[in-house]
Amino acid sequence: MSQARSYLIRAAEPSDAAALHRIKTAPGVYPDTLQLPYQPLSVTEKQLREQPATVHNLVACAPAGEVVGWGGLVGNDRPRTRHAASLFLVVDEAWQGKGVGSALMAAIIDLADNWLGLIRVELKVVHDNQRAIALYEKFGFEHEGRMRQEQLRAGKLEDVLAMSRLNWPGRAQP
Amino acid sequence: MNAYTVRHSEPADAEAIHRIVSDERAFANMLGLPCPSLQQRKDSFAKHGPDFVQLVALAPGGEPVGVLALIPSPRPRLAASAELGIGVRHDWQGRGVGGALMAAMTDLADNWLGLRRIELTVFPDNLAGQALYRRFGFVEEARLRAYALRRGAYHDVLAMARLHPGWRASA
Repeated sequence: MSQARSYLIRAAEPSDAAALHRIKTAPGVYPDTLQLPYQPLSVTEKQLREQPATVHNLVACAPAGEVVGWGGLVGNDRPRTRHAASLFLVVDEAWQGKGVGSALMAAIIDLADNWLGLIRVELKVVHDNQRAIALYEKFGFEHEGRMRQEQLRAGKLEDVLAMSRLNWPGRAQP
Repeated sequence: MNAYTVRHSEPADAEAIHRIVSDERAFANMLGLPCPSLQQRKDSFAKHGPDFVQLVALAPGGEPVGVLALIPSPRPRLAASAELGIGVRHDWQGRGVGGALMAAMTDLADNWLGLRRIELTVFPDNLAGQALYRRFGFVEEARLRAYALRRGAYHDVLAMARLHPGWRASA
């Protein structure tokens, strides 16, 4: 499914707002997220301008430089769940199936495991989003359960799968 | 169970709620911390949005001994979903306080707010909590691994949810 291509992974910047807004509201993308088809650009601009320290936004850039994917982690605020974060991922509809998701996932998992020391990375995915589920499984995410009729998609309430990946970080030698 | 009056919380309840959540027998299962701040509890009343629901159950003497929060999701596509949290003061646990709060909450959610889906998490060893939630129609949907720290160890939680009886029938 994925081809060996290299994508530059970097932090999302406020100047990426227009590209990321187009990606997340595209007809081939928004149905399987919690996004709405109609949204003002200012929502995405504000999101990128005001990134809290617990949110990590990464983008993947194609060889010509254009932004083709967006993913990252939203850390939990509650003190007793701060070892965990939620993962999100969207890929430009014209670039799906070309390894963009894998490139972003590898960078996100490296960040979580080796730099943030997260123990739990969790996500939710609509039950029939097979391509995304396969990608998450490839990166070690396990199924935890099924939330009934959790989200509205194209007029129908769909079940959502809960998945997570655990990593117990090694302790430094004293 | 009818011995408890249930009403919405008021700022003047801050001290009673603070007392409920200050005891480890209550806060351990509520994702709270030791030594919560009373001032932050007082300030929280000013921060709640118009959709926030917080009910208290009053002991016969009038003191709040149980608290329940219903937090509607701001995401439009989660379509009338809310998250539930509940706590009962340790010396009133096992005496129907939770049942009184849950009965008031389900009436409010089903018949007045039109909430479609209510979610909660509960520790696997909190059998009393799970029995209460099941009694009010909650069903286990997932086991979330290493979800929360409690007394120095990471514990799984069960995710439970309750669908509006009308929505469930039409599914």
